[in-house]
Amino acid sequence: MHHKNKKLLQEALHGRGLLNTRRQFLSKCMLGVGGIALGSLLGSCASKDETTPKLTNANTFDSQNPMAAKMPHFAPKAKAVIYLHMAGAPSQLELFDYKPELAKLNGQDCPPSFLEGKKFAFIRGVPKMLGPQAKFQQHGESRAWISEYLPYHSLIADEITFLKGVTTDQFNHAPAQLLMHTGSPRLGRPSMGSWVTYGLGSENNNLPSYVVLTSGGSNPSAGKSIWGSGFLPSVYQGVHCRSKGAPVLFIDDPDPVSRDLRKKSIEAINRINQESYEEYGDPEILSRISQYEMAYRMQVSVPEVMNINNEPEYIHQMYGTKPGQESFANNALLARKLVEKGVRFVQLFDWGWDSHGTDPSTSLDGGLLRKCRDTDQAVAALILDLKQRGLLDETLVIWGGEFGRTPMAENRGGVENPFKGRDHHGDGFTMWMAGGGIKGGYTHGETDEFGYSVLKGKVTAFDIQATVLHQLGFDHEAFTYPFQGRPFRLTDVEGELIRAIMA
Amino acid sequence: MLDFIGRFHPLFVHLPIGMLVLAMLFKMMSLNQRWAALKTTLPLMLGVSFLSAMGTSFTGYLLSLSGEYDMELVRQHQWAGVALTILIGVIWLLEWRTMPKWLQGTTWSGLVVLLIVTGHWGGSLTHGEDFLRFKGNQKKEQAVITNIREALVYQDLVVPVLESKCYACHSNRKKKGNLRLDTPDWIVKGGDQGKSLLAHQPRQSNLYTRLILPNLDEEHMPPKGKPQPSESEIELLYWWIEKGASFDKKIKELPEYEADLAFLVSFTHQETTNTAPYLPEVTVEAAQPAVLDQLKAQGVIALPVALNSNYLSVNLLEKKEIDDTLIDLLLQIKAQIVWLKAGNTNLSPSLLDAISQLSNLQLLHLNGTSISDEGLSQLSGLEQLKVLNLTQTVITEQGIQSLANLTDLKKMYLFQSQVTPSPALEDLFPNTELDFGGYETLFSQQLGVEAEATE
Repeated sequence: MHHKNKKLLQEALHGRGLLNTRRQFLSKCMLGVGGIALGSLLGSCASKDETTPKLTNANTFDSQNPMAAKMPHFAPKAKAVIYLHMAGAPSQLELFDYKPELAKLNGQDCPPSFLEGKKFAFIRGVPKMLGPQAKFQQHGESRAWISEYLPYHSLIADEITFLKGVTTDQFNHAPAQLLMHTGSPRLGRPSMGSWVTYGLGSENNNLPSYVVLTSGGSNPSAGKSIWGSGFLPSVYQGVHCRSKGAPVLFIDDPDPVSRDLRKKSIEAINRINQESYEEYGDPEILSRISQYEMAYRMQVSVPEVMNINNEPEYIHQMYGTKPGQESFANNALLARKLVEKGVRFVQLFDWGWDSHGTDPSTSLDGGLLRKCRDTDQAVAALILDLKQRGLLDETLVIWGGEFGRTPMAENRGGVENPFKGRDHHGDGFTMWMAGGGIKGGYTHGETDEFGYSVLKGKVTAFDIQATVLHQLGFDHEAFTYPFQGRPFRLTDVEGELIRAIMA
Repeated sequence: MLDFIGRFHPLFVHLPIGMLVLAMLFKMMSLNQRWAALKTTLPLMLGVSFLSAMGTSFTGYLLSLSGEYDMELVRQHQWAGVALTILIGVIWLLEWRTMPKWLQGTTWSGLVVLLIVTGHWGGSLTHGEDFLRFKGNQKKEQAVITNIREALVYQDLVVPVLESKCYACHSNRKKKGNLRLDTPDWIVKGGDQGKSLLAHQPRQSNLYTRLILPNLDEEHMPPKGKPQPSESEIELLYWWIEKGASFDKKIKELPEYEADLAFLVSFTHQETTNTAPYLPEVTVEAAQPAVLDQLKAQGVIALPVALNSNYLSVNLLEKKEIDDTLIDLLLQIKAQIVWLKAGNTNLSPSLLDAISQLSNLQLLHLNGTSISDEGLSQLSGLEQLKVLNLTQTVITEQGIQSLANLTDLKKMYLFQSQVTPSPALEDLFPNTELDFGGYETLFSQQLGVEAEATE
């Protein structure tokens, strides 16, 4: 089909998806003549022209087979993504962004130039500067600064690229998390994992293509929307799996129900759904049918892949995993197993990184240190385990929070906090990426001597999203989905590729 | 009729060439007393050379009248050919009598030089001036388009297609059918068959319609046996003509370009060979769609690596039953497969044999298979291989040695194989990063450090 036809057809399909179907038009309104005219119009749009070549691409949605594997725009470097999100926003100043000059200002009043025209979540009045609470050392051939809080990260210093100039215009957790994962601080947009699943489909029929794993504790404050599918067909939303108990809720057959009975009932439900699809033509019904089918297959394959009991002892030693626990380490190991099985996008959410210093669990020398101890080893193990299996080349790993933290000590309500803590800060924080065609042992971007704002190599969530899509073979500007009369992108009207970090 | 005779020039031309080469050989040999008798054959050979050279010159002249060639180069070739013919005649006459050594030396050396020069120019006319290079079939370096909207539709997108698929016969070197496609003026002017394009009407434009005729049709372009444009390249020409066949506009200046951006960007990314994603230097024909569908039915994923690519990425999805049908299908796309994931499959001898025939293979996963040292030696012909995953196999150091000739190999994964690190192996694979894994030991060491620190 040539382009004009293709576009019309897509629009027609989309219109049907919004329930304004010809069938409904005819059956409900009984406007025979108009209906027939519209029908023939739609029919002529869909007529196939044999002489012109036909192309399918990432921007097409096949409602009959939404998860079929698809090719990207150009040859990809990465085939899968593992996104490690430390919800709450880890302090870059205690982990990677070493600022000896800040130590000299420790305890002094914050210079007014830092405060003019700025808004903070909790800081009021003039706060005191707070020096780095951790000791730093250089590691690897790249001589990357990594703090003593993350001893195992020294093992992967030469595998990762630090982005030290990440910025965000959001200073509250939920909108900042939404921005990071969906490209908008407001609800309703599809998450990056949904976009990727929409664009690439799945190579494994028995597993969800987009898996979300949470470490227990609290879920991210943005809620499930950060792995939602927004306006994309709901088949592309993230599947939230648990590392304790049944990996997916209600995945086991209830007690008296046998596997056979389950199969028969799902077949019956799908037959009924098929009939409603034939009546209404809503593609969401097809999504539902394929979800049921996948759920049935997943009843066998998910518990298998989500079981880490059979992993050898040395792997448990390496990750620091304890089967049966609900932990980040277990999730990290699961992430490797899932990617090995062809899952496209694995998202890990850890919690409790919000180091305000209001109580011991949010203090920089208490709570933050414990969060580091809980995750450091597993993160390093994940990178090196992927590497030795030859998977790091084609798996892009991202680590980061939704923003960073101030070089000032938090003074909630103008009074110094009881423990050492820092407020939310989006003008310059650190994230890192590894594998999937990203340089190893590289640092992009730099903040000023106090870690307050970015001097060079400034990047935004959009730039990171554009780069992730690029590594997967997509041009972020051309990767769209039609919704409400216009093509939508993950990066909206923003996003520049961070070419400097590409290997 | 004359035109027809002219077309025999490329055939006749080889007669005097072969004869002269033999005559030169005999002349050299005859300088030695043992072979002096060969001297007597020279007049006959030179005579035949002279007559056939005359015939060749004549047919060559007739062929040049067709005007399908770069006239400047034709003139050079023509006069060199005439000079060569005369020189052959002169030597022929001289060979009847005894000549001074210096004259023999000059005339015969002159003959060698002229023969090479004339032959080279003739070859350039037929095959193009850039045909003779050390590395054949290399892709031209092209500027990477970073922003598709700012790209010039003709210069940046259309020209590369015309250059690779049309210029060989329709440019300054040759203009078959009086058609040149290498400048906007010539494209607009058209050839013997009339105009090559009508703006906004691709279906009335030869530049599109001739491409989509069935391959066996006489009128199909490019002719059978020449490199064919891919589907997306044809669609690009269609798109360009439909949008007005502009020679100077940027993409963003064309009407309603937004809807087709995804399609357009696939032309902007040049496939490179030095970093991942690894792709071969040669171009391949598109695989038969039916084969890909059949593979899908077999539970195997075979997809082009990108929208605008004929190379295939194949994932056998840990398949355990490998039957002859599957092998047969894989062999039908053996030139196209560039990435193959065969990890954790039941690697039968026939599958291994099929893999050994994938001459363009860049990446191969054989992790968790039963591959043996002996089986590995079958892969030594995969000269383009860049990445080889042999983790969790019983491969030993002996087995690896059979791959030492794979100089393009950049990474080899050997975690949980029987191979252990050794300086000898490093010497054997100077360009290859060998990853033996076993990083868990780093973690126990790290634990040790931590324990010390807490004491």
